[in-house]
Amino acid sequence: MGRIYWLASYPKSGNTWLRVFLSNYWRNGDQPASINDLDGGPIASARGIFDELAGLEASDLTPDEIDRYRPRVYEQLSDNSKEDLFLKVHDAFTRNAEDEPILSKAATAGVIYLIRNPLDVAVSFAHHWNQPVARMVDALCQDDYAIVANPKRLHNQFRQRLLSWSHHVCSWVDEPDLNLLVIRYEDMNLDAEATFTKIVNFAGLEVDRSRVHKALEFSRFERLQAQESKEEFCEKMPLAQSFFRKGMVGSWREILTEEQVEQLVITHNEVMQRFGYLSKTGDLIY
Amino acid sequence: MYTYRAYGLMFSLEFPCPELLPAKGEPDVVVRYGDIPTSLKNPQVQGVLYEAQSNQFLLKLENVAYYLVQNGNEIVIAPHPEATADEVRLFLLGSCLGALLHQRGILVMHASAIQTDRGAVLFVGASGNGKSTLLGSLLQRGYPMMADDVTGIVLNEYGKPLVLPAYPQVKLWHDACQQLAQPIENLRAVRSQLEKYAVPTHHQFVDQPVPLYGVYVLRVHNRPDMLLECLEDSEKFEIFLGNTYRQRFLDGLNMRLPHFHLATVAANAAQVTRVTRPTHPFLLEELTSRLIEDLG
Repeated sequence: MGRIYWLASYPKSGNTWLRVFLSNYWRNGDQPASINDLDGGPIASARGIFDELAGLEASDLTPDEIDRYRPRVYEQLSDNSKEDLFLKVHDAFTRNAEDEPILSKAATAGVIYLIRNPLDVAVSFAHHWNQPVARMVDALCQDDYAIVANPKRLHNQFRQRLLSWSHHVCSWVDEPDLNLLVIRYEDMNLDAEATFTKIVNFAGLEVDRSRVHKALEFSRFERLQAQESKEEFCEKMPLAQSFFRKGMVGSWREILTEEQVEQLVITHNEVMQRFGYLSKTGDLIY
Repeated sequence: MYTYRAYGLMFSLEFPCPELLPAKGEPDVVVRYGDIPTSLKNPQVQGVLYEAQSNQFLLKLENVAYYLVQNGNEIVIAPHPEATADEVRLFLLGSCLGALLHQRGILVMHASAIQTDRGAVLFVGASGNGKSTLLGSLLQRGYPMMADDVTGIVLNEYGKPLVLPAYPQVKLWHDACQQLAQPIENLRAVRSQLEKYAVPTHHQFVDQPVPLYGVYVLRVHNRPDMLLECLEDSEKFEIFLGNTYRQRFLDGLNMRLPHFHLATVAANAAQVTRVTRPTHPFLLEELTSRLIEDLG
């Protein structure tokens, strides 16, 4: 078994919030961890990790070659580490041309997969990229959707295949032989103590109730917003107004049109039902 | 045989290498085709695509070539039958030259470099922070270039750091070419599948070592302003250490100690300035002007 715990999610599904919580839990300090100094990073697709471990510039490799060697890079990252590593990842769980999982199972200790109502994801995603909501609704429904995919420029991350929202979820949760914990964003919000305690337990950390309380207090959305208003958050997209926007459950109700809701619900019906976002009779739950 | 000069060394190659500067003289380094073992006997460090032990470095890129770099004076290449000559040279001039310079005890920085009135100036920063784009912009303002991606530093007879000229080429992505109004029609893509181009700079290249003046550390932040901050003492040393080209090669090659010494001397001699620009927009013109102003 490997050393890497993947903090995996479609973007805007609570990944950064989880990293804020874990950073505070590990450090157990008297002050909240800085949002610009979080554990669980950089992202798995960061170019720097690859270049140093592979021994050459990924920017001289083709996307297929990068995908071919990425599993080896994570295996080496895992082998070189004396303790468990936590690494954020937005890629869907996909395979390269050699039919190997890009996020090598041999490097994997476990997966904390975060899932969020796709209606809220679409709204948050639009804010994050400063794009029209309609465009991001389309993106969530696009089977081959990828981010950081412009081949004309050097980016500090690799292309990440997200697939459609449903395919992203299923690629992770239906993959056999993964030590997997699925967590819903809505439960992180509405039942924080129990949900984060479950995460701490799964990650093999000692469960300490007072530490959970303190880490949750330091990770409160208002505190993160206050930090961001004082110092720019390095993970904010350049064109976005802010990273920590609302963090609410159900804010789609104020933003999405009926057609957009219908488009998302029709496309993702099955997975939304499976994870409790849609009742059998078609009612939206959050 | 084809002979060239790069990093102050004479290279003798079995094949032409148009990226390098032609020169005549006794070779310091021989580059030839030949058979190569698929792994080293006792590698001290094994990366994903390389192995390193004292005096030997093996780069294994299955669909391009295997490269064996040894004793600081020889590079043997076993190309894949379907690899193009351009591809084979691309990795020869990148990681293999970097490993060769490490073997020779040269301080190898992941940096671009130009010549200024004050001496050689290096630019370091994570891939994607704009080193090559900025270099292209400074070339347009008339500064001669010394290196694009890998810069070598040695000490002269008085113990002062000298920056070695690399070779006259800048690699630019499509969007950087656009930013610099550099037409791409006549440029060669470094690989046919990549929109990254080789821009020859023979007309604007320094072919002599130049004393080290300073280092600019390129960073980005999510604010609209641009910041220049002078670094001191240990911060300067950390910049040289952290931006050493492929640091893990050093462990395999047993070169940590001499590297530490060189990095200390270079850090003490250099002005080191951290430059932070907005992620977006790039502000290339403003950045270039601020740096020129800072350089006096």
